Amino acid sequence: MSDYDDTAGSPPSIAHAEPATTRTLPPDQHQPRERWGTRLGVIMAVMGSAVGLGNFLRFPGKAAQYEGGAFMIPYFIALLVLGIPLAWAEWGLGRYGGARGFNSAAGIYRSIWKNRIAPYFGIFGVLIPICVYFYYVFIEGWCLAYAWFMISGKFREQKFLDNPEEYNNFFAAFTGANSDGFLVQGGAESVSVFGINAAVLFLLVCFLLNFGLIYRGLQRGIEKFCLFAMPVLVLCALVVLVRVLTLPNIESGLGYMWNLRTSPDKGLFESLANPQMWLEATSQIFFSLSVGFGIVLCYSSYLRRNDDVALSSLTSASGNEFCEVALGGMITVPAAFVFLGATAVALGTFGVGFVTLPQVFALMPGGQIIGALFFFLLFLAAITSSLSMLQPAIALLEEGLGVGRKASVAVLGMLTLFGSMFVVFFSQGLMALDTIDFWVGTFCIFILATFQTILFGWGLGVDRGMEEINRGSAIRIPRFIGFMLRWVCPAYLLLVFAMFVYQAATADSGNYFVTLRENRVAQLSVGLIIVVALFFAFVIAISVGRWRATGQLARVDADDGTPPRGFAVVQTTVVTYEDREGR
Amino acid sequence: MTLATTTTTTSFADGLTTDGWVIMLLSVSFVTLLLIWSLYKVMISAPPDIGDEPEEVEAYRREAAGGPPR
Repeated sequence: MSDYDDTAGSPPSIAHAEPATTRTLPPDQHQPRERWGTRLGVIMAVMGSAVGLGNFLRFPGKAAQYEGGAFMIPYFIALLVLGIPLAWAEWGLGRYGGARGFNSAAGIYRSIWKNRIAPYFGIFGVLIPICVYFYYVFIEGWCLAYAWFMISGKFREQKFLDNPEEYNNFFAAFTGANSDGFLVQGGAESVSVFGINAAVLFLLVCFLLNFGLIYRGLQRGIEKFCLFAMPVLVLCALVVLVRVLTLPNIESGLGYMWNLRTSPDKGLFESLANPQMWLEATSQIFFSLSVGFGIVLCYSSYLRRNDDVALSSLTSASGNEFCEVALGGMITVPAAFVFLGATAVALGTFGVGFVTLPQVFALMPGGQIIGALFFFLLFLAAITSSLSMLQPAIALLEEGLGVGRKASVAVLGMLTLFGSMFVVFFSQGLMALDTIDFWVGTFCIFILATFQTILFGWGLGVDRGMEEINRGSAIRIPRFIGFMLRWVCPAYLLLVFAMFVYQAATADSGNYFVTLRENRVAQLSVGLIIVVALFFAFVIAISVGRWRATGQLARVDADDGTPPRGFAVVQTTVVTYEDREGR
Repeated sequence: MTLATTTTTTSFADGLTTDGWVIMLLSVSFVTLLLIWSLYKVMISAPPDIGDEPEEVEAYRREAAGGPPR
């Protein structure tokens, strides 16, 4: 251990003798701070957080929808200009706050922007992951359930083979999309497992898994699980990929996914002139890398002061891109096109995932096993993401209220169970899910990402920010990235956000602003979001008072940004050295 | 149910065009090589630690014992 902050949990008596050291100590002397065990562990955890259903279902659908291969040009530009720099910035902000004793977004923002309103931006840092968790764990249950249905041969029943519409009917009955309260009243008999409604049963299984792992803690729970789950996920995907690439006539599917849709009257430049495609490609990168979620911020705060962030961030991002482009882009759309044609891949994320693909696997030789593997890898992608959504709130409850893990997990468990049951109850047309996804999972993420970018470029400052990212780094980030983070990224984000809001507000169908005015469930869903936001605002208010009382804010305010030196550094260094010698 | 290639008349039935091949190979190669390079760098770079160098640790030890600062 090399950091002055790693003295947390050690006897503070000597450190308190030195005023310079006192300000560097974390607030809760009685609670040893959690740390990542290995560098690969944190990379896998962040990669697991980023890799989700979007990599395997949303990305291929969008790429195929927008001009095939031409989509990849704005996609990679967005990755290099926006995605990777934003990820670096978020990792840097998180480790900066973590070195000052904070793991919650509220504390991290306050350690950078010494203003009394700064911690309240941290509401977004917990609201987004928790509200997304409400519905994400429900979808995670679908993936596990569909893996079960695949292996049990459900989709090879004669009624499915006779009438493809049955896949759609099954999905609607399974998710309760036909009426509110359908699932909690027992659901359809045709989609029960062991006599229990399958959607609710698998939701509860996922809930227990998530909270069991989160209760074990950062290193023993999240890190260990991601170190196992991510390689298994990639292995499953490679097996599915080999099967897909050996299908007869797979070139037609690959052509649909990757060919440029050019014609004599429409060349590549005409294709690239479509602003909608740029918006979608940028959004895809942005959501895929999980920047602006508050998760990377929280995860990186558990790093030590001199741990690498630049290379770890790049490795996580490239792992996510590998899963998205090299695996997702080669599996979903090509396989669906080969069996069912272009119309089957234009059904949206859920349509492709839970209506088209079961049909494809039912028709594919060996599809029973391959389908089960595919849905199991989706489940792994989902659970590594949902786990990460719980940690920011756990961090806030623990360090803000000073409660232990048991209490914070219990509070969060009740809150998220209520939220998930809300989504399950208002299942008609998946309205609650869709509304929360738009207002929190999309709208609020833009706000938080923009805030964090401005905080990095203008609050922390480019010089200190770049110094923070480069400290302890295995690769050197060029200085122009600082310029981009100060000027280009905020402007790019604001432009995309403005286009996104304009498009959402003027859409003829699926207009969320109109839906919010007219639909009762949409209003209730937004009401739920506001209640959760108020709850976290209350927790943050208590936390700020507590940090002030313990002198933590005074210590942070006295911090001039230079790495603190003092006895604590000496003490931990010697312990580290002796520990190594003793082995 | 019939296969799409027999029911659609799009040009994709002919398979990948040259530009499709180029874009696919470039995209997949780029992300794969980026991941391999990153993982390789992670594997070969030891975590930087202030306590790695014995001389530096000795200096801190002297400083802690009240000796001259580094």
